[in-house]
Amino acid sequence: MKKCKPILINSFVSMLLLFLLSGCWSSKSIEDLNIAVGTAVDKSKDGKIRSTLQYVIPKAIGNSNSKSPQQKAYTNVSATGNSLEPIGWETTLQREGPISGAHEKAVIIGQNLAREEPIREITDLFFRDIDIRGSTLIFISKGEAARTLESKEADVVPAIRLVEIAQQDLTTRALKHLSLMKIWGKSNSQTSFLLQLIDIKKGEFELDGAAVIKGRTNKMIGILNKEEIEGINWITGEVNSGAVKAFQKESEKPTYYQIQSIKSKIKPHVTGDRISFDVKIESEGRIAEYWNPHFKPAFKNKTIKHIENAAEKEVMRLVENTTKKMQKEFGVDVGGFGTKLRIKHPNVWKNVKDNWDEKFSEIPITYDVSITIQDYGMIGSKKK
Amino acid sequence: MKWRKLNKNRMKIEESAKKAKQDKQPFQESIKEMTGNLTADLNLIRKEIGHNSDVEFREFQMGTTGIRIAVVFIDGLADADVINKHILVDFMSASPKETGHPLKNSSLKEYIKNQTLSVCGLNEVHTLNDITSGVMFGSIAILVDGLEDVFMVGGAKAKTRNIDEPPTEALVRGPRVGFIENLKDNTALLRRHGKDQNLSIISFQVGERSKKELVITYMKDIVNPHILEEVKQRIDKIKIDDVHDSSYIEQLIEDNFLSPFPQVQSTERPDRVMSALMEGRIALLLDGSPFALIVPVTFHMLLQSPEDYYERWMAATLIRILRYFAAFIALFVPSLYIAFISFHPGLIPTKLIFSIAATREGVPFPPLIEALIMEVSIEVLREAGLRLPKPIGQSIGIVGGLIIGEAAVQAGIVSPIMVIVVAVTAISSFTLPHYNVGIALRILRFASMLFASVFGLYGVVLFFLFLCSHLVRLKSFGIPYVSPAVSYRLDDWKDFIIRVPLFLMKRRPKLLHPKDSVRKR
Repeated sequence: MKKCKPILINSFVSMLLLFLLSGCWSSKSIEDLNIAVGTAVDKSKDGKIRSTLQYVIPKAIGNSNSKSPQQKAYTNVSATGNSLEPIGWETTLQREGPISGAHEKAVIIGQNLAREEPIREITDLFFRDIDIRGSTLIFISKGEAARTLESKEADVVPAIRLVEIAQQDLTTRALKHLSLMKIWGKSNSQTSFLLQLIDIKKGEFELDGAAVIKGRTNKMIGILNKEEIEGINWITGEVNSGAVKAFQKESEKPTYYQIQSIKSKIKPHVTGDRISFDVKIESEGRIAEYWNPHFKPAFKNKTIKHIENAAEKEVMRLVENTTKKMQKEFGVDVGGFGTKLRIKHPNVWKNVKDNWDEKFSEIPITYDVSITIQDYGMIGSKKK
Repeated sequence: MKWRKLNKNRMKIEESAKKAKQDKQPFQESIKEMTGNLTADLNLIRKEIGHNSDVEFREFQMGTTGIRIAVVFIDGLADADVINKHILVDFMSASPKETGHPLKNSSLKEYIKNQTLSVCGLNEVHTLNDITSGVMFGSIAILVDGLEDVFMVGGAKAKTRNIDEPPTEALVRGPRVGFIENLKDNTALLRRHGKDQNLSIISFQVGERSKKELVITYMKDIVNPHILEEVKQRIDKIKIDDVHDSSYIEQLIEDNFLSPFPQVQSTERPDRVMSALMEGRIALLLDGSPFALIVPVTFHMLLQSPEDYYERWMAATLIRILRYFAAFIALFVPSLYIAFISFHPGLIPTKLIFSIAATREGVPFPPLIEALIMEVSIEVLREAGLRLPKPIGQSIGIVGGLIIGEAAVQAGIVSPIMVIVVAVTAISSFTLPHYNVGIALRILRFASMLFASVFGLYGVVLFFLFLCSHLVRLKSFGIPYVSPAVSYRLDDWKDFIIRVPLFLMKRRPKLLHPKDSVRKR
C-alpha cells in the first residue's frame, strides 16, 4: 500500500470526525411543531394526575392572510396518568407533529395536587427536559388548573397572557414573578417559600394571594391574601411599585402614597442563644391622590409629615400582620429571614437550620419604617 | 519516498515538454532582408500582408528627382494626418540641392532623415518581419528605391474614448477620473496624479501572437524588491497567444486558482492605484484594458472604498464597519434562517416564532428548497438585469423583484419571511465595493446553506471554520490574505476595520515591509 504523509491522514480523519460529531441530525420544520407554551397539572377524579398542554396555533396569531376570523389562537390537549412523562406521550396521539417545549412559559399546578404532592416532584420533568427553559414561571391555581388555560377571547393565548401579567411586577399586591430555576434551590434546601396564586374570575385572570409552601414537606399548606402579600413585599423590598393608604381617620378622606422605591434591610442579631431581627424599611415616593377635605396645603412640611406618618403606620400594620401570620398561623419563614441569618452568622445557622421554621416562629422581629414623600404633584393648595 | 520519486518523474516530463515547446518556436520564420529594389521589396511585402483589404500601398516620386517612394500603412490604424501633411508633402516638395545625380545611397538616407521627413519617432528597419509587424501595429513604412533601410514612422493612433468617471466604482466624493483603454493615456494619468520621480513604469510584452504591452508601476523607493521580483517572474512566465483583458493576467498570475476569493484587486481608478503604490504595492496596466491590477492584495482591501479616506474618519469608520456587517449578512443570513427554522426553534424569540410559523403554514417545501428557489431566482434576475441594456435591465429588476416575489408568496410557494431574507441578502451583497468579492460571497452563500440544512447551526459554525482555515492559508504574492488579522500586526489595525484619523497613520502598512516606511512626519 502506498504510504501517505501522516499529516494528511490525520487531517482527513479529523475532518471526517467533524461531520460525524453529533449535530442536530433531526431537522424539524417549525410549521409542524406543536409549540407548547403552558402546562396545567391537576389531580384527576380518580386520584391520578391530569396534565393539560397548551399549544399555540400560529396561524390564528400571525398576520397571515389565511387567518380565519373566529379561530382560537390556542388548543389544549390533556391526558391522565401516573406522572407527566407518560401523559406527554399520550397527548402526542391527539395532534399531529412533535411537541416543542422550548417556548414553555408557564406551569400551573392545581391547589388540590399541590397540597398532596411535593412541588419538586411535580415539576421534576420540567427541570430534566433540556428544551424547557429555567425561566418558565410557576403558579398555583386556586381552582382547577386546566381552567386557567381557557380564554373567551379568540386571539389570546392564556398562558402567555398570564406570564405577561405576572412579569410586570407592577404592584405590591402580587408576588414578584418566580421562575422554575428559583424554586429549585429552595425546594432542595427545604426552605419555605411562596408561590403566586391565580384564580379565574368571570373568565379573566386574577393574581389573588399566594400559596405557602412549607419547606419540610415541600407541599402547600395555606394561603396568604393580597394584604399579607403587601406585607411580604414591604419586608423583602422586591416589588418597587404600588400604593399604600396614607390616612388613618375616615374623616380625612382618601389619601394615597405611591411607592417609587422600597429598600429593606433585614439585620440579624445574635446574643448567646438569642436570635432577633431588625428590619429597616425605607421608601421614597409621591402623593398620588389627596382628596384633602380640610384644604391643608400639600407643600407645607407639616402636612407632608402628617401624610408620611399615616403611611408609615399603615405599612407597619401590614408587615406586623404578615409577620403574625407567618410566625403564629403557619409557622414558616417566607420573608427571607433565614437567608440573612445564614449569610451573616453561618455558624449559628448551622445549629438552627434543621428546624428553622419552628425556631422562626419564636424569634422577635422589630420593624422600623421610614417613608419620604418627594413629590406632591401640581396642586399645592386650594385658593380660598 | 515514492511520492517524491513520482514528483521527480513528473518534473522531468514537464521539463522535456517545455524543451520541445521551445524548440518548435512556431512563430519564427527565416529572416528576409530588404533588397533595396523597390519593386521587389513591395512584392515581398505584398506577398506577406497584401491580402489584407486594409493594407494600403501608395507609390509616388520624390520631388523632382524621380526617386520612387512607397508608403505602406494600415488604413484607419495609421495616422492619416501624418501621411497627408508630413510624409507626402515633405517628399513631394523635396528638392535636393546636390548636383550629383543620382544621390549616393548614404547621402540620400541622411538627406531624408535630416532634411526631408518632419516627423518625430523615426525608426530604421530592414527585415521583412520588422516591417510587417510594425505596419500591423499602426506604423507607416516608407520604402525608398535604392535604400535597403525602411523608415518606420509613428505608432498606432488608436481611437480612444474620453476620460470618464468609472462606472463600476462611482464615488460621491473623490476624483471623477477613470482609466481608459489606451495604455499611454493611463500611464500619463498616473504620472499626472503622482508627480513623483520615483514612480517607475516598466514595460513588458505579453501575448506571443498579439504582443500587447503590459506595464508594471511601482514606487522605486517604497516597494519591497522581493515582491517586485516575484511579480516580474510571474509575468515572464505568461506564455499565451493573446491576452484580451487584464483579467487574463489576473488569472494567470494569481496564487490559488481553487479559492473563491479574488487574489488580485482590479480597479478603474487612478487614485486607488496611486494610494496602493504609496503603500508599497505594485500595479499592472495592460494596453487595451481600463482595469489596472493591484498586487499583493489583502482581504480587507476588497471591502474598502477610496471614499473611506476621502470622508472624515468617523463617517469612514462607521461605513466600513457597516460594510463588514453587510458582508456577514450576505454570506450567512439565508443559512442562519435555514438553521434556526429547521433545527433550533428554541433560539427564536417566542413572538417571532409564532409569526414565522404562521407565514410558513402551507408552504410545501422544506426551508432549504424554499431558500434555494428564491436565491437561484434572484441570481438569475441579477444576471438577466446585468446583460440587458440599461433601461430594460431596470424593468427586469422591478418585474423580478416585486412581481415574482409577491406572486410567489401569494401562490404559497415561499413564505414572506424568506422573501425578506433573500432581499436583505441581495441588498447587502450590493454594498460591497468590489463586484468580484460579491460573486465570491454568493458562491460561498450556497455552500453555507447546504451546511446549514444538514447540520443546523453547528453546520454554519463548521462552514465558518472551514472558511477561516482556508483564508488563513491563502496568500497573495507571499503576503497573508487576511493580514493584519493573521498574521497579527497591531499597527496595521489602524487601517483595518476602523480607520483612524489621517494624522495618526504615520507609517505605511508593515506587512509589505516597505523600504521607506514613513508616511507622515
